[in-house]
Amino acid sequence: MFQYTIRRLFLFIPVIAGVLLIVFVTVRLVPGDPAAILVGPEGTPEDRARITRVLGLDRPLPLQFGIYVWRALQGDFGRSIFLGSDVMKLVLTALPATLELAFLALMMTILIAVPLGIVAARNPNTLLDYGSTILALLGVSMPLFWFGVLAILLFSLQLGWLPSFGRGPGILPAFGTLFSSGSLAGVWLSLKHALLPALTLAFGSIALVARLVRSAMLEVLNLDYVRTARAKGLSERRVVNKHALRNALLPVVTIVGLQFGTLLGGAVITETIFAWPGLGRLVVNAISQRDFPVIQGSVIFIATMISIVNLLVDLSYAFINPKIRYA
Amino acid sequence: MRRSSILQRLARHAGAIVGGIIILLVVVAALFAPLLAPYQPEERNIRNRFQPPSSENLLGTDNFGRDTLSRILYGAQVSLTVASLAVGLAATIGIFLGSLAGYLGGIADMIIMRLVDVFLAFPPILLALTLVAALGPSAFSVTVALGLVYWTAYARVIRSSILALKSEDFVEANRALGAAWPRTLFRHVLPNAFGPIIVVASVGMGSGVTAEAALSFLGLGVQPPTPSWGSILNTGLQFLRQTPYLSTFPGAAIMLTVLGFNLLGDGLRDVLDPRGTS
Repeated sequence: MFQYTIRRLFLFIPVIAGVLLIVFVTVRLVPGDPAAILVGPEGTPEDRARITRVLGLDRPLPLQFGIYVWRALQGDFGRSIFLGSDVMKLVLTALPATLELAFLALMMTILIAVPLGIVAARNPNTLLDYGSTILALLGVSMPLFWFGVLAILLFSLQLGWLPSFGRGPGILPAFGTLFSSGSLAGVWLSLKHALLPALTLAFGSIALVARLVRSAMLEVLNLDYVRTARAKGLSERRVVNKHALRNALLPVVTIVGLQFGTLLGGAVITETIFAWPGLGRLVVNAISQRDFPVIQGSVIFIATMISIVNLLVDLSYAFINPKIRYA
Repeated sequence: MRRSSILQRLARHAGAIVGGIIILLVVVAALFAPLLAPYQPEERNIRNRFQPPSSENLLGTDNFGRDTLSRILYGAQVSLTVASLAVGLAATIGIFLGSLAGYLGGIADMIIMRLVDVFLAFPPILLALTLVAALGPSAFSVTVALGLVYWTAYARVIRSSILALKSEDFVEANRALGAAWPRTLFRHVLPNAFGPIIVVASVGMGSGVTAEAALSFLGLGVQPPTPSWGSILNTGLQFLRQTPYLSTFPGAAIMLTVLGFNLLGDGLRDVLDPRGTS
């Protein structure tokens, strides 16, 4: 296990270096002089020359990249062109909202997809099975922005049950208020705000994971040891929940872990639809304002976070399943 | 002989048939949009804004009084063109780098596969967004961006089939006979890897259609007034209170198209995968 961990860690470093390089090069592809964008149309040539010098844009590109990496390692991604504030600070301010959304979506995925997959697998080729298969197929094909818009149409505009934009006080801070003042109102309000965006974000993952649980479960239910368990006279519930489920969920754990990246990608669109003040909206706003330090910093931050989570998923899977370590 | 039997098996696959019919309908809609559309897609009629579906405007009208059905039909052109060019670009890059990795092995293989890892570290839509931001919003940028984002799957497929083939006798024999590598690649490796590549490409068309719509939805794709499913949907979201139809129909078009490609991809996988047939 130790050796495997070291090996995986060594693969991790070049990936992060590659992420930095790709984002750096991409932003340098932008036509036009960044200094010109920064001084604006009223800037004098002297202003431009000064900004160019201050930003180090007159140095050779490889050196600029080196400096960028050196600063990035210390958490310094420069300053936002529009807001003037530190990019890392903007990212960290937006992060909790996105994590809240991703975490809720992950919970929804597990709580809905796993039972759905089990029920489908236990009743193969029945109406129930076909129903959940069709649902899963539609879910995989449905663009999440359309799901989001339909959800707003139904639950906000038609029924008026849930708000269609904003975050409210936020779930974690609301729990803080709950403990200090005993008021449940904040928690309730936050949950109401989070429900539609989280469901929108989770929908595709639910479909994917349900399909996976179904096929993993079907495979396991046909194995000899399950037949033995049944032959022993165990109740079907016990066979499924105690014996089959544990083995069937093994591959599911990895996929659910890897969904984190998918969810962060989906957050870019979900947060835009629901005006959710997270990382995704930060990126989209930065793109529309051509605020390149913010784009650069937040994209690198997101990719690094996903790489770390994927690394942890890999390591935990190797921990659960010894076969992987020696492959 | 073998290819016709694949087609025959595909013709018996219910999902593949449904998927194929859906794709055919969308392709016909795109090709014959000028004939099928009742109005010009950019024709405005301010007095006829936010109309619900009626006999004059089967799917209603938008904020400029433009006919939604006509715009969706023309939107199919944008959607399919961008997605298929992006898939073509992704397949070209992926096949090139993947065969280099598989053939050369060693350090080249390691570098290319690390590059694959790097690209997989980004959520696809986020990387596409960043690339489009750098290139400037247009249909061309979206195509290039999606091609650069989705090449990794092709590289992996082609690399693994080359690794599997490298030790085969006929490839050895070819080399012994002095055949040049490109010739071996085109004559033997690619035809053998054709199955998995076509599966990846079919599902990739679905992802391409979704991603193009997503970027247009965010205002970074095809620029107005050219109709795109994503941008019609975005307008629909802005005017959700005035007309719920404007966001409903383009979304349905996207989902149906993606469903078609997914069904066809699943069918192809079932038919082509030797494990599935045994």
